[in-house]
Amino acid sequence: MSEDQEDVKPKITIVIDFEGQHCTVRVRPGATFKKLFEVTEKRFGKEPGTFKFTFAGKRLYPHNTAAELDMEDGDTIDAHLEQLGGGHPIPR
Amino acid sequence: MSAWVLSSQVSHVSSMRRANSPSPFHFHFHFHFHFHFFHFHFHFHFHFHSSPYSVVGLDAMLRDAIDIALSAALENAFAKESSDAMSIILHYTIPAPPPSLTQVKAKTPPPYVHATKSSLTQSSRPSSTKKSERAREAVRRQSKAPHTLWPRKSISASQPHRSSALRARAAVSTPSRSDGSSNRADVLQPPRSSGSPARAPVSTPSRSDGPSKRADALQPPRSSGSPARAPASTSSSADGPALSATDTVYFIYPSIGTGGVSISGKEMSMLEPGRMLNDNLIEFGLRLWLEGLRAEKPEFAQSIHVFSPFFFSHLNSTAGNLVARRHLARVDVFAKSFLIVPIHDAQRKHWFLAIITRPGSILGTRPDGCDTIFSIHGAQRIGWSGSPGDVESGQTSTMRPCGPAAAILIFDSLRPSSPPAKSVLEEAPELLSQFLIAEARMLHAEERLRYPVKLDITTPQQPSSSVDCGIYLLHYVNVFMSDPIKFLNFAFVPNQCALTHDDWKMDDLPRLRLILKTKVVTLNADWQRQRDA
Repeated sequence: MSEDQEDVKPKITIVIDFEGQHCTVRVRPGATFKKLFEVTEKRFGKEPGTFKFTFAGKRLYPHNTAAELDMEDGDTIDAHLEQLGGGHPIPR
Repeated sequence: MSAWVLSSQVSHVSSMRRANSPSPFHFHFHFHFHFHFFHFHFHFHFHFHSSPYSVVGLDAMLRDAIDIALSAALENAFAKESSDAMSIILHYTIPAPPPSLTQVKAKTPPPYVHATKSSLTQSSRPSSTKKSERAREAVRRQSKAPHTLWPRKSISASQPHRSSALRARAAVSTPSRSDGSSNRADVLQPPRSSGSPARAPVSTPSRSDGPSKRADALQPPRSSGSPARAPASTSSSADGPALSATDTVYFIYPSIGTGGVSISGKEMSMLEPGRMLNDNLIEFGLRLWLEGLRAEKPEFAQSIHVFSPFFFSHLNSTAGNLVARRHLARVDVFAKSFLIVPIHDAQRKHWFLAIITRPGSILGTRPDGCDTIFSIHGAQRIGWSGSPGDVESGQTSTMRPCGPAAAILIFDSLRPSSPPAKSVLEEAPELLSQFLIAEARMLHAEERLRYPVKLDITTPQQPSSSVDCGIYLLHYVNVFMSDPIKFLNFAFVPNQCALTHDDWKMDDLPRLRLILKTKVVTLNADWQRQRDA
């Protein structure tokens, strides 16, 4: 897999922003985000699979890599909670 | 109406056989069943043509396809009481889907969420029991969803013996020992509600004579949590995006490149009537619409930018514009004619919509006519400049020197008579306006800025019992953008109520969930095909 070849590249720092709270994770550009997602969710005390991640407005998936998205050192990933809407009247 | 359907039963499966296949990878299913409810008597005949792996992989999809066909047919039958109408609908729905036997049994509730959960179970984590417990809870909750047209539960409850008999018969009637049979075994495997170890023997023997790992791995939703599954899934090639360990994804749309929106079983179940839509579905619906438009009017589609549902929530937060900027990477909003912003109101659990027209005119220096759409359609028609007589003359010279201003239009399907202070609805236009101004300052170092106009659009409202605001949002986009000039014309005239039910094409709205579902089914089929190729 291409991951193996790219693993020799130095790690980059990725900042994860969840509603203004930050955490940083160092990742290899060729490594998938699976680990990164898990670590982030743990740090924010969330269940696995809670967050939805975006970079530059694009959704990220556990199989994506930083290299695939042209991420650079210091780039920020946004973490979001699921948004659900049906239009209940304003709660009293 | 749903009460009637509740009393329905699948009464008879008249034939189900595997025809001689032209090649080992293709075979046909003939699939008949009769269907009674009230005094209607339906007879469906499905004819499928499929490859063996897609039979397995798309098994659950078929269930939904038939689901769609049936609800469409039923709706139609009620509306017109004509069997012709029904067959048209069926014809329309069938080509997409793969066959399944489980549909008839219809035993399992649809949420593929469990598949995700139960795949965790298989890895025998300590938390697994808790997980599956929760999954089961989800099933229970789901099955109580009020407006389901096609109550799977009630059918299975009323026909437990028959369905197991069917299962047995179908298994016997598969003479070939090709890999098709193991697929069949999977299809036949009792759905998750019966995921007890006792069931396992039913499926294991047949697997042993033709195990096809690939097919197993491809089956997306129904890993059913029974122990019999475990070996298959450990050997599964979880290399692809569709079946990553934590997510059971049907497909990612668009499938090319990065950043698509994933649709999984969870989203599919949200398309059932009476369920709320999440951010994935909103994004999916908008992208789907834009793609459709791109095929039809590429130039027009190019002038539109659709924002992610997450975009607006950043404007609402403290870090605000900075984060929102990240969402825009490399998009120059001022080069677009329309910006479409789905807005999530967490407080109301509500989706509403903002459309920004002509953002480019915020930049005071940008020459008129720089955005093609408005010049194509003739901006005078909007009523921003000149007299109505100008429409015919086609002269742009009558326009005011700087052209029409940018406008932020708000569409809300649950508009309160007066928006409460500090509510998202009240603040949205201001936040968007601030964002655009900041954007203009930053990107274009612009001094002379013209603030956008804010306008509430009088839209058709959703009934108080409805949870369709997401559907309304998608519908507004579709309808408004089909003739923006017409709508803007009304929007800027004080008397907006001139827009009628027909102008808003409200008759199309109830069908939207169905259309999206069908789309999900076809896209999943495409996705599977691509992966198999």
